[in-house]
Amino acid sequence: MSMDTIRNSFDGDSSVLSWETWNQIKHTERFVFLSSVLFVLLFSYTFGRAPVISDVFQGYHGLAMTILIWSIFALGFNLLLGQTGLLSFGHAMFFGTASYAAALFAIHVYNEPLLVVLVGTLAAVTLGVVAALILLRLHTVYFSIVALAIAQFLYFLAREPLVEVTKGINGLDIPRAPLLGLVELEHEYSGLVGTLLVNNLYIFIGAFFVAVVALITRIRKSPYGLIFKAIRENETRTAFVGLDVWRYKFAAFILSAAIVGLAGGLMAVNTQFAGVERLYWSVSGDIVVMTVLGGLGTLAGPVIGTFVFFYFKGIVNGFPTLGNYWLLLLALSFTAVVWAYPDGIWGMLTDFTAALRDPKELLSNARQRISDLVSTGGDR
Amino acid sequence: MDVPNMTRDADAVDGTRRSYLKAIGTAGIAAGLAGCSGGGGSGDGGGGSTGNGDSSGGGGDGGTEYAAIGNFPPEGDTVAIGFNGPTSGALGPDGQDQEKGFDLAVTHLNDGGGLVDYWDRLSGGGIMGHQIEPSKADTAGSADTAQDNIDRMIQRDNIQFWTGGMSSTVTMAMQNVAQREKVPFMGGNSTSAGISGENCSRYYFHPTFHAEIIGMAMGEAAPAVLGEDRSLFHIYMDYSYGQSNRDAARKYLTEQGPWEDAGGAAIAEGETDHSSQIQALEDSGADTLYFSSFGNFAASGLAQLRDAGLTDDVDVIIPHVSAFTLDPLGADAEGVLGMEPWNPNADNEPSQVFVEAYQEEYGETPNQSSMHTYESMMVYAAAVEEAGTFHPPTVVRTLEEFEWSLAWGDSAYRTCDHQVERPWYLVRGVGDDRADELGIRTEIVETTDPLVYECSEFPASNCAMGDNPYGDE
Repeated sequence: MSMDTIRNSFDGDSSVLSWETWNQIKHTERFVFLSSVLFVLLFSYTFGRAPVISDVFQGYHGLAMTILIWSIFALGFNLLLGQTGLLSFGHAMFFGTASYAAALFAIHVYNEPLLVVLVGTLAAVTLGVVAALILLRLHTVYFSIVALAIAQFLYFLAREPLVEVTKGINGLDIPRAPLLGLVELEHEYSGLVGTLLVNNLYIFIGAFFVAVVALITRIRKSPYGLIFKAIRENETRTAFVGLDVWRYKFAAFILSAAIVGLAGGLMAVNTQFAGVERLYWSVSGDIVVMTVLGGLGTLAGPVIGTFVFFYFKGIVNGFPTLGNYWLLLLALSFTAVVWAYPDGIWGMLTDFTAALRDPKELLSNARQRISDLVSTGGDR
Repeated sequence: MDVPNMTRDADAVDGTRRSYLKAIGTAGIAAGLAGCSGGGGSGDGGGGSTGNGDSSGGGGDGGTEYAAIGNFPPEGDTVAIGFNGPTSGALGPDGQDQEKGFDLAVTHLNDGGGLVDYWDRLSGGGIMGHQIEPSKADTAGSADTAQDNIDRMIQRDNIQFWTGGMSSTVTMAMQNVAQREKVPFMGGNSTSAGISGENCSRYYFHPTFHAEIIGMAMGEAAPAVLGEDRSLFHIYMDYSYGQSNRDAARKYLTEQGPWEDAGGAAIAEGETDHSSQIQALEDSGADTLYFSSFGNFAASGLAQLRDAGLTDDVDVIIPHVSAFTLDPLGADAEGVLGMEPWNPNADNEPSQVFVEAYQEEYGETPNQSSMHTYESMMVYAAAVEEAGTFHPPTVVRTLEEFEWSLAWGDSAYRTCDHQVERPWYLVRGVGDDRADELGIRTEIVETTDPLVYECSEFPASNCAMGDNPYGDE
């Protein structure tokens, strides 16, 4: 989304800028960084308050913040699945644990949002180390299922035996505290800042979002990240090259846990609540859906996937009559997108924009696609 | 690019500024501070622009008398009211009934009909002349989803009040939101005692019973029906819902009551095969089972009891029973006892007025879930009419003093914990023929008096209502 915004501003000069220049620009870290900043700047406004557009989206500021946090979650998850090729069905363990750790720290020790989020992240990292020691011995479906088992184990643990600490299904309530003891997160701005960003809480979350995007871009561009990719493509070969595969998988796992933990901590700060449902397996499932729907292994994909998921969950949900079928509609769109474009929505967009550069090919492709569809339709 | 945005923004003051004000999650705290500290300057600014927006519409609603707080005042001559309940998932059937009750209440309050015509406090021309615009969403039983939903209703739709909800988890999370945002909320069927105890909230009113009250009511009614010489076995869901119902039943039926305790067996979370618990029940030799389960889970458990051939020898009590729990059992539901907060055959005129209106609209007999949201809406509307304003602190104060008598019977919310006091019903499952006759699979056995426990007793003793400000002090 952010990319598109930038792209539009370049469009007017497209005769001056050749496609080659654009291809160079769009892959630079600086460009990605600026895009993510621009995205954060415009997202809440475009989604929730801009004339016309927001009436189409029917978005609202609170959901914009939820989407940013879950995007961080999806980006962290994607680092493991999309980049390194490890499919975990238990990432709720980091999200939920970080959320609880953040809440407990805020309630019992010291309530300062930055510190609280940090504690959440560290808790997820600690859990990540333990989980990695168990999980990285396993491969393919065993890895996925044992990850799920660990997450469910924590879910039951938080729900019953630790009820005194976690308050079980009732959850923990966190009072709002000022950032660094000075800045009220609820403080709302007037003027342009107020129009775009509304309040400090959004800036707080947005800053983390930009930082995570920058970090992930750094990893993707670095030799280290290339090794992740190599592991994804062929673990045995990577080992033969002389690299310690386990070490890199461990690093990817911990990085992923940390980023997801960050999201969990932010969730606790944002909602002022930490509950057992964030450890539940359906959260682990949702994040797989979001990532795959948007586009696995890409940067924009998980963000787009999260947006679409929450569009259904937070907005279609409220439509008269149709609202009761939001889960069904989401499932249908997911199936349709992944069926037609295995690379997700982002894959669909890049296919489309690539084709736009070559209208003739687009036309022939479209013909081909239609005739394919017609013929498969006929077969049935 | 920014400049046109700015001007557009200025035009759209109503849509944007207003949402900022909402976006201040703890609007209440902010507004509370605004009066005494300089830091609330921007909050005041937001309030000012809402005032302007209001002058174009129904300014006569007293916007000048009361300062803006939470979502107050409503815009124009409509008022948005929310429904945030589980219309999908395990609690879906109850959530859908709640939604029907809510829809019917909106229709009646806007255009007359049902209890609106019956009750002289209501006019049928909306609430204080404001037509109601419903705003609805499905929580799917999740607190995080409920939170997003309520953000939408508060920030985007500007709701002044909301209702709905089943699971205690969601209700408790929403109690806190109501308090923070200063938007009054009445829940649904949640029965965790903490709702009217440690988690109580100034902006939440609990329209039904909870585990402790069920225990008290059972202690009064069940021995009278089943006899004093009974031994009681517990099968309970192993988390707060099941445990608190088990504890309350132990307290009022065996410790303070005449029955013998025959032990118990827990159902672990997610466990659906109850054969081990059923075996334990058989081994205990008990003649009465207190089955602390609910909804579809209880339905499946009852079916297993029946298949094990136990329903003939053992009397089953489900603490909070609803018709849809018993429906899947068909004729085998006959004899199952339970408490209901309301039954369509309740012996009062308003109940019959409601049942008729509901049947006319949906062609089926309503149950407790539809009644909860429906009467909650009536009571809120009447409290607003009585207060003469939508101003949340004023409405809350009015509700704290309010007494009324509709389908729920003689009712009042207590100031100390916002728990409703009204009669409850001990009901019994009935066979097919009788169910056809009644329109519902439960029949009233006994009506209890409005149950009163002191504000100094558990769980009210855990409620520090004083820590929950009105927001305009």
